[in-house]
Amino acid sequence: MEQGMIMQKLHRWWSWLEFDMNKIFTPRLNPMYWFGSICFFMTWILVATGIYLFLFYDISARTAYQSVEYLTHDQWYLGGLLRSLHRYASAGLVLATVLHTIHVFVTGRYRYWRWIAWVTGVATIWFLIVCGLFGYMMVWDELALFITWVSALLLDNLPIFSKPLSFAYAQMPSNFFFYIILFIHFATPVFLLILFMLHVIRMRNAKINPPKELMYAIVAVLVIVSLIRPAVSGPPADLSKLPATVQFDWFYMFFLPLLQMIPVWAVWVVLVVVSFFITFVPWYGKSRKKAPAEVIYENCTGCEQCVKDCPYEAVFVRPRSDGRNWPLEAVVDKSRCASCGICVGACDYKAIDLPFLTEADIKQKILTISKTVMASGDTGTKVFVFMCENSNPAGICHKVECKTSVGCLRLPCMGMVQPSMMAIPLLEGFDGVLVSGCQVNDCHYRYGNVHLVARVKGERKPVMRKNIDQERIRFYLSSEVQKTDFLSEIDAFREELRQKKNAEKGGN
Amino acid sequence: MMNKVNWVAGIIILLLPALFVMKYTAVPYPFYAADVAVLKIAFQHTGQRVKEYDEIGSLRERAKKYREELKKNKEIKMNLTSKQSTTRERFPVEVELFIDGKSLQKKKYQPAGRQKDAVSVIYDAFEISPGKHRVKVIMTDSAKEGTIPYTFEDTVEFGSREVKVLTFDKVKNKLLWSENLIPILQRPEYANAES
Repeated sequence: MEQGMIMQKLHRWWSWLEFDMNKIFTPRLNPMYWFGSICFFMTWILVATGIYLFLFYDISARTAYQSVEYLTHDQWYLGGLLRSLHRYASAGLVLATVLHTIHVFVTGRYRYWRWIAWVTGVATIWFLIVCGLFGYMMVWDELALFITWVSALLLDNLPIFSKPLSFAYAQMPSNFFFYIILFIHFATPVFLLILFMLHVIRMRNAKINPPKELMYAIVAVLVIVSLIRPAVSGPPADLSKLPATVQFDWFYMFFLPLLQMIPVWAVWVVLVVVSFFITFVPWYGKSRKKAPAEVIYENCTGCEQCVKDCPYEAVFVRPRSDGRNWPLEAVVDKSRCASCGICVGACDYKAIDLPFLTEADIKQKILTISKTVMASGDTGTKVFVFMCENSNPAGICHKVECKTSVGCLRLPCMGMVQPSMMAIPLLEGFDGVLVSGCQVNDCHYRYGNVHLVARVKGERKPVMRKNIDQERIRFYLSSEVQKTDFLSEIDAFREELRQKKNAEKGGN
Repeated sequence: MMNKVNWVAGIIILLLPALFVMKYTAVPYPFYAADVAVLKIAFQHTGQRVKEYDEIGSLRERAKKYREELKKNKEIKMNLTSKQSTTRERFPVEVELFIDGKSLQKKKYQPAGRQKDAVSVIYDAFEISPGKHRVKVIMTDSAKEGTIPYTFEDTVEFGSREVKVLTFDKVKNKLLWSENLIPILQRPEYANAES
């Protein structure tokens, strides 16, 4: 099977799953749209619980284990609970990160202008694992000793230490060792936060926190799990014994069984090769990046609406360079531009365009389609459909057009539609306009659907003309697997428009 | 808006990954086989100097020269890092391990430092079968003729997955089994004393 076909299938399966989850959670609260934000939320839980745990932690080989035991058993109602929350939130963070990665991968949201987010995301996973492993060492139980030994074994294979680390952990380590563990366990989250910042650096209005309801639900679920199975330590570290079994945390130790199968150097080779392979995923395959947006300087007023609407901070303003009246002019950073056309939808001055699909092209197409439908002589209720390419597969436009009295235009993103474009078919005699875009919280270009809805409601510039009847406009936000429903939605909308028209006629 | 049924269903669905997390954060995993015991040799030891070198005497002599030079020329600086006439180099420490009379490894551990004048770090771990074994270690810290090596010999029972660490006690100046494998508070004698 061709690679593209596999990706399409994966995307469809994922979309079906999202669709089913929408039925339960509603699109606003569907956790499948919030995996990235859930990662942030898990991190906040880890920081908060970690601070409390640290207050009671003894940084010494002699008493580290006892201090954790005190928290777990003597203070089970708070310290023990927070320890369990810390444990499960850390595993939840890995799970959410993996699911977020899968989501990004199957939806193809990792290439071109998104490469920074992908690369920092991969680095985040490794920092996360290092942080987690050092967290386990702090407990200084059997598992901690196991992790210390295997980590030392791995690191001793690299020519970076003058004396083997394993030497330091052959006998009971000094307190200094615990200070180092603590330092690394505290320092890695700082690097993680820096990586998080870089991860979202090219995103305008990055969604850091999931909706409140989802946060409460996640905390509730973590508390339930913590009460069902509180996190406990194993027997204290005993350097005179190899543990018979270790309580493996597969979220952080998934690669350690490799040490049983292949030599240590080969484990490094596997880890490095796999990491590099994943890191460079955005650059595999043929580039199909479209031409970036271009500013038409004679029309640009420097109003900054395109800057506000660009989801990837690809548009910025600079002082006027052509001596015209306005103080600022827009500039497009070509490497960041997603060619989504949201800036075209935001511009009321015909000052920014996609070279392969200009505003004039779109308006001309709308006129042509409108005239064709009107000339067909059909007397049924007429609807013009604007479709976004990402949530509407190419074939669907043809199916829609098969319906009589329906005109259809596919665009890179819903956000490319200007209210003035929606007015054209209505002025040409169409009864209604239907805009089909990506599901709420799942716009392929992040905010295209949200911006257009806001423009039509008059909450965002450029606003819809007041004399346009809002009831003749309908939004249908869905994923591509809901397109059977979409066809019936068109029929339902036409029926509503027909009844409205009849009522108006009756009223007159 | 979510209704009550959706809330309950939502919590149940969120519980699924949480239960998955709960299950896979602590899964007993047999990493080490039962038919293995480990003998570790772990200590630091400084080999003898390749050439006899009186470091304090040498410094005194250089300081004396410096004072004399200072009387003649007031701008002279004492250079303690200049190459010395006598080498500070030490011999590597050689350790040979015999298990049940068979030589398992003979290895030289080079001294640390740019001038090879610091301590040698000896660390190696050997997997052996559990049971009674005759362990013999010969350690030499000088290649000079007539040097008497340190010798350790003991018949010892290795339990399944047991780890024994052979170390060097600087005070007693001999090789011996390490007792520093469990924190003091967790050692049986301490626990008994507490009770």
